[in-house]
Amino acid sequence: MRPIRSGRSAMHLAWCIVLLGSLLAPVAAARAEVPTPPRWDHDARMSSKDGYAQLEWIVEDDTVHWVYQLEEGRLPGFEDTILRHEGPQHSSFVSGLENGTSYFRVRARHPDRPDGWSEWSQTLEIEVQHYSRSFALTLMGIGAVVFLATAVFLIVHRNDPTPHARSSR
Amino acid sequence: MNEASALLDPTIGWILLAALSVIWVGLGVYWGRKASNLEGFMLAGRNVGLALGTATAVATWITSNTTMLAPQFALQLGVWGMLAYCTASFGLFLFAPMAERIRALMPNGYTSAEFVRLRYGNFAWGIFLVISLFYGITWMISMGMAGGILMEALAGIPYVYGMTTILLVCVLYTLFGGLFAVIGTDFIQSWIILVGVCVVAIAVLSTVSIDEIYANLERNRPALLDVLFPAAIMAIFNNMLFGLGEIFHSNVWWSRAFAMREGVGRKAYGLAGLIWLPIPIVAGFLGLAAPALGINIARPDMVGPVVAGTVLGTFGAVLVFVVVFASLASSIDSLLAAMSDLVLNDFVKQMFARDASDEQLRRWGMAVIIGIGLITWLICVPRVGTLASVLFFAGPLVGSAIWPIIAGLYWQHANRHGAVAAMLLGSAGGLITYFTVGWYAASLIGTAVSMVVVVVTTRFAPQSFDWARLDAGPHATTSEEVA
Repeated sequence: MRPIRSGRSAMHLAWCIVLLGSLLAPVAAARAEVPTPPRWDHDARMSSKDGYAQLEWIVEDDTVHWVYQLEEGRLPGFEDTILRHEGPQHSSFVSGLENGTSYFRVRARHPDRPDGWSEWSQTLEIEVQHYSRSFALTLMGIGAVVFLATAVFLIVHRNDPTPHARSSR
Repeated sequence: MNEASALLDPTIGWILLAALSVIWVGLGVYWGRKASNLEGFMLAGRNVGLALGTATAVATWITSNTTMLAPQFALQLGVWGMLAYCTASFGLFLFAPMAERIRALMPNGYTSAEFVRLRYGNFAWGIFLVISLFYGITWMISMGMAGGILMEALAGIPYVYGMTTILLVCVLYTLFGGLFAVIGTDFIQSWIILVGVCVVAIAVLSTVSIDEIYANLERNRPALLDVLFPAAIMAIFNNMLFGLGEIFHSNVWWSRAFAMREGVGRKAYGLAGLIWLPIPIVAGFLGLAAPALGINIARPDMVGPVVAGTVLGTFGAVLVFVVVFASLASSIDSLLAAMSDLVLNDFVKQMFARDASDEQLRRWGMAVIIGIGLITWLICVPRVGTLASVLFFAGPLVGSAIWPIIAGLYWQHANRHGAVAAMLLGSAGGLITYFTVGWYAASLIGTAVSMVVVVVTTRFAPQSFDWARLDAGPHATTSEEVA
């Protein structure tokens, strides 16, 4: 009797393992399809004097066309965020940033798993310090003077009589 | 951008590419039959009228940079960026009277470098040739790259294939038809570009209102609306002077001045400026509309095509493909023709083939066109930097040539050593600014330094010049040799 009972137990145990495995397999597979957090393809601290920057990121497994979400925050804790991009492109050009620090983070998911977002990437900090207005206005003034001098020169001379090359010899 | 995010099916892209290639090469061969001699090949028989003259100036000035860089300017520098780009039309306006004088002073002239050699001597000529060829090559590279990038973004055609095809097509039809083919295709291309850009702008405006665009920019990209955006206000006159430098010095524009009938140049360039002026505003508007349309811009130089493709779907992508192909071809062919004239007339003819026949020179010209195409291709393959960074590097160099050119054309006492110093010091000052401040101030400083040097040297050390020497034929002695 004992061997028979122990045989049944073993069979029950095997069935339990198969059942559990089949239940947990999709979970494991889904876990496998949650990518590692993207990482920036450049320094995580950038500076800009003109308020724009090219952001690029990568995920280790590049065999999948991951979907990305790029968020911008005014505060390092991302309490107040703007969604800058959601889609398959792994780069984004941001412009129109004002003086101060802007924070960016990105995450990825499998295209077939809307809720399978990875963890957020490391925070990217962009320090924007525009040229001073006095410096910019000075250069603009120089440009205006040079342009006006050139334009006035050509307008003044526009009807200059052309020297007749042959006859002047 | 990658194939996964392309706006057109690659098969459609390849079909379009093949069709456009066959059309342009076919037209090149057709018009090329008119170029029976060297003067026909290089200068279209010096008989180009007002309609063709205006169209070729418009089409040449609407480059890939207008359709792709103007939106990039707007996206980077806001409203001022968009307006800054359209100031390049002032180059055409101010070149209008110059074109007439150039033709009158040098009725048998061929190139801008020839003018510099006769006016200022061999040393100035050497420096000018370096500046001009460097600029020509960077312009070609920026357009070759633009072609490759565009085809990859729009249709998933690999960058190298797209870039190679457009360069090859332009080399082929310029080779067959010379300036006749260039001007003829420019006429058709200018119409395609004007209609295409207007259709895209209307489509964008019917999708998103100006109010929505403004509100979005104010909320998410406020600096783009700032009236005193520092980089943008620096860029206004910088871009204007860059445009002036490009047109005043480049043989692309001088060869057209030589090719137009007497009395046509002034009107043709003036009209071309008027037609060209609104194009960057229309194209730049796409850059400002992108955020309101919720479009992610992966690369700034692709903002225009991506917006058009997103708003108009497949039709828009096809339209952009055709428009940008036309704008690329209309400029690459002009550059190939003008640069080959420059190399042929000012280098080959001077150094190796003084007594060559027309037929021999034409063969040399063809070899030069192929050589320039090949060099451009080799530099384009590794895809160096963005379009703006490639092109604007040449900005200070061409800015430094503005005053030596205009003083040489109008001031009989312009100092030839001053012209040399102006080009050298202007270029150096501009390049230092390029690396220390940025591209948006480099042309400005280059021109400013050059202007001061030319004015001061002419004022304090005037040198007389005999205008007759400008029309003394290709082997004429320079003022230096006479002195």
